[in-house]
Amino acid sequence: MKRPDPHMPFILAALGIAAAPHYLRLPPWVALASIVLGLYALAAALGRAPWPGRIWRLGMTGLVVGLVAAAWGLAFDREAAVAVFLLMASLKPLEIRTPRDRMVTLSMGYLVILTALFSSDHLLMGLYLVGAVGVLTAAMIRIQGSGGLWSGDLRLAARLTLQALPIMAILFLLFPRFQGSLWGFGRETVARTGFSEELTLGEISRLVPDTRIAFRAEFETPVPPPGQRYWRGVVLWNFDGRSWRRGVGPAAAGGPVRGAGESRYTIALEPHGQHWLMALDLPSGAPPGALLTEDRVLRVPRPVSVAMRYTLVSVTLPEPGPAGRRASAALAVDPDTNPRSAALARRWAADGAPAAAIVRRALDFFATQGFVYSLAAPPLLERPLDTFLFETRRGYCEHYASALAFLLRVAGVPARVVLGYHGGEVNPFGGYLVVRQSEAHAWVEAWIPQQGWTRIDPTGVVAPARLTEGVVRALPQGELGDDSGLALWGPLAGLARRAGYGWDAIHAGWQRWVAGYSFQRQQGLLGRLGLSVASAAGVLGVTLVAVAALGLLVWAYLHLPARRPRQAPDEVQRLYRRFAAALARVGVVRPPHEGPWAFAARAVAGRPDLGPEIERITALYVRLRYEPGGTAADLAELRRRVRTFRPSRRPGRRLGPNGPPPALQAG
Amino acid sequence: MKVRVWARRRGAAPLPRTLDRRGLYILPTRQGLVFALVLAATLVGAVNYQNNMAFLLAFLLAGLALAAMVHGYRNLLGLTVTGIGAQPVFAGRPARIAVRLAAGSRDRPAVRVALDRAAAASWNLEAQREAAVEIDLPTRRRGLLPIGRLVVSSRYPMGLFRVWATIDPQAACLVYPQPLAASLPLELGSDGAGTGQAGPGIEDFHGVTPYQPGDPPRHLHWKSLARGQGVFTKRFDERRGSGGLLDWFAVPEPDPERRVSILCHAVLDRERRKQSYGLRLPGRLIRPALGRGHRHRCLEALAHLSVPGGSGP
Repeated sequence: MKRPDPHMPFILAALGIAAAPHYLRLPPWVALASIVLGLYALAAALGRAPWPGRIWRLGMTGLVVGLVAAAWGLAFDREAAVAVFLLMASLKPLEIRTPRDRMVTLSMGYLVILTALFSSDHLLMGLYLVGAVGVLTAAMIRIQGSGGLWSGDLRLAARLTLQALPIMAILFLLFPRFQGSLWGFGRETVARTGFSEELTLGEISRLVPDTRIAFRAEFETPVPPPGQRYWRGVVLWNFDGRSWRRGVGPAAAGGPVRGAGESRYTIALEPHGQHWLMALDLPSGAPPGALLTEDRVLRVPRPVSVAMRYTLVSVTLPEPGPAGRRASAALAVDPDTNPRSAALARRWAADGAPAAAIVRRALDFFATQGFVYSLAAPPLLERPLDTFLFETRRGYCEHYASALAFLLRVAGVPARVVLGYHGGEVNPFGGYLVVRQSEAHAWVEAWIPQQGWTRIDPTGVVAPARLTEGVVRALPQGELGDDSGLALWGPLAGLARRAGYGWDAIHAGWQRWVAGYSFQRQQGLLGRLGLSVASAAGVLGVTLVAVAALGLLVWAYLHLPARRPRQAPDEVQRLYRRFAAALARVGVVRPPHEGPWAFAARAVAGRPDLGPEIERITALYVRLRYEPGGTAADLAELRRRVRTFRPSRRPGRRLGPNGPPPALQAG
Repeated sequence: MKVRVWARRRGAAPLPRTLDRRGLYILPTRQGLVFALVLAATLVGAVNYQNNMAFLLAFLLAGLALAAMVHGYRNLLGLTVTGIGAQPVFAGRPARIAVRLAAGSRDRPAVRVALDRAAAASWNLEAQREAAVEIDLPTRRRGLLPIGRLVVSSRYPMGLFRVWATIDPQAACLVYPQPLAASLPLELGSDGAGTGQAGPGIEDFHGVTPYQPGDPPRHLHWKSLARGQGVFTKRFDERRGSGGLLDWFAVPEPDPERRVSILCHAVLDRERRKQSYGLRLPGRLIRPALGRGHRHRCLEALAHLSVPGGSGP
């Protein structure tokens, strides 16, 4: 059963492009199976292999489902569902029989794209989306069977896609967004990035090589100086001698923070899969949907799984606030976990010194006892803080913060650990701050009477450069291998850096307008347009604006000037012109508006001796030019006949188009 | 020279007609509905998961559909149906209806032309060109066959929408009778004097000449052969404008339709043999002559002949 299908290569190419992100993400055997199925369909379409019968197709469908079930087993999740769907879409071309089958197959291609989109909202996925949809559209045009060149179909598809983009933009911005999903289920989980609610030593230094962006911040007020760029994430209360944990019950709302040094800014947060938002230390209030807790953490009810944007006001010089109901929890400590350290802290507090003096003593200890800021901290096995404080004395911010909070608690000063970021570089193209995972940081907050909760950063004592020039400069030479590498590149490195800034600026725009677009953003945009969806009249207004914009676009498309017909004639056209020129030499001139058959009729009337040849050439030309049935053999015959068509000159009447009555124009 | 009968226009929808906004309709095809389904699924997914990428896809597909609609509409907007016509055919053979289309300022791919009762033909038209799409229309009876309504449609570019316009050109195609081979009494009719009183079997006998190879055997002068005078051939008067008159009343066939068919065959036969012929029909006389124009005149008269009790027009 061999039945070549000329459309199949295009359908398969479009499906392959649509499936490309899946091939990179799904297990290799799924990708391999999908590609093999596609290649087999291609071979069958070219007549090199038989089409599988019904039994075979059913068998393969069963096999595919079975394989996926075996591979994923009980852990059948979204990825498994995507794998099944992709393999089904790969099997579908094998049962194409009718034009409708082709259409259904290509429609599955659009859904293959859809399933790929749920895995990432990166800018590159946006480019993939438009490209893959364009190619599928070209295949859709192709299967209409109007013939012509593949490149022509692609060009038309590109034109359609380009015209679709403004429509997409209007609908994207104005289509009503809701808070919450249609049904209760279905929010997919995302990989957690950055730190978590648990600080184990080594947790943050692990992030140093991770240059992924944590968030971007656009300031309306002046960008704070490097030393003040503390980005607050989550606050940890419980310490078991080795790890710090969040360890608080239901979050209580805190009152507003007042103070000096107000900064107003918007954060574009990358999804990190955690329950908090980032803010410049200290946020004075919470954005809609979030809660500012007593310990100044911005809690959100669900993990951040999509890019978010929110605007905040922070104060860098807060006024003293209340200690809060849980201040006593900031003293809970088990001194026996690290007895040597505990003894040190008790000595500091023995003379009844005030909290501020104890803090100063602790910082002096870090500054004078030969501590080294380093990623290469030796492993701390038994009594980790004792080992760190009295033996290794090499560590990263997490070591210092963890140790300081412990020491302060033993000394009777309430203290807690804050996890967040410190730093951020200004993108010169976008004017915003970029904060990366590698800038993750940990510091301590201590309750000092008359000052309230006060930020104390022991890292700044050990390595002042960490706070002013960033992680890379603060670390001892050679701990980050790629830094010296970059130095070798010299000016090229600068160029690469600038290119990186540019790309990030584009990406930030994407995050701002596409990936992070939300109900709130839409409210803001509509507000700027003077519209609101709060009332029925407002909804009507938005609808009218959308319809008017779409109508304007359609009107413009209807009145776009027609594409100029291609100027370069193809071979068929060239041969026919040559034929017409030969006839012109013997006195039958073809005016441009005359159809081929009308011309042929006039020519035959003028030169009956050439009748059969003229009619044959005209028939070939018309078939090749206007009918889908023209073959290579027809073209060869046309070529041969035109080349040998040399009518002898014979005195005759010159026939113009308005000369003797033409044969009725048969076209 | 080909003879074509062009459309007879009767006012209602004169050709040429340019397709304009009033006459063009557009509706989604079955493929378009499948596409709408995909779009709806994407949108539901996007709303449910609050996924901006899925929103983008849904709205891109919506944009594509809208753009495709505009392209499809523009593909027919401004297309001109300049004429419709058909070569006369014999009943029972398909009539080739030629629909002439003028593209106007743009290329017009995949334009489909269909008739009410006939298969469609598809055409790619180039800008500034005119082309004729030919459609086979089956015929059964002689006379004027109404071509019926013409539907110009297109599913360009993606097959999601069908744009169409219906035109009633009020045109008809001439259908000659179906020829029926039958032996006729030879040389019916007179020399066409128009007496209307032609007796059967009167021959315009002129004389005899010596036989030459190629003379028809039935024209042999048997009498002289029997007399042993040699072989002679009868010669008939071949003056221009005279000749056999095919006489309706002389055909030995009671059924009028068959009689029409027999006369039709006789006309074709005479024309082929270059023997001049005339035609006498109830209420009409066509003087003997030869040539394609004459043949057409005779066949047309036969096609239109209305006979009492017959099934003709």
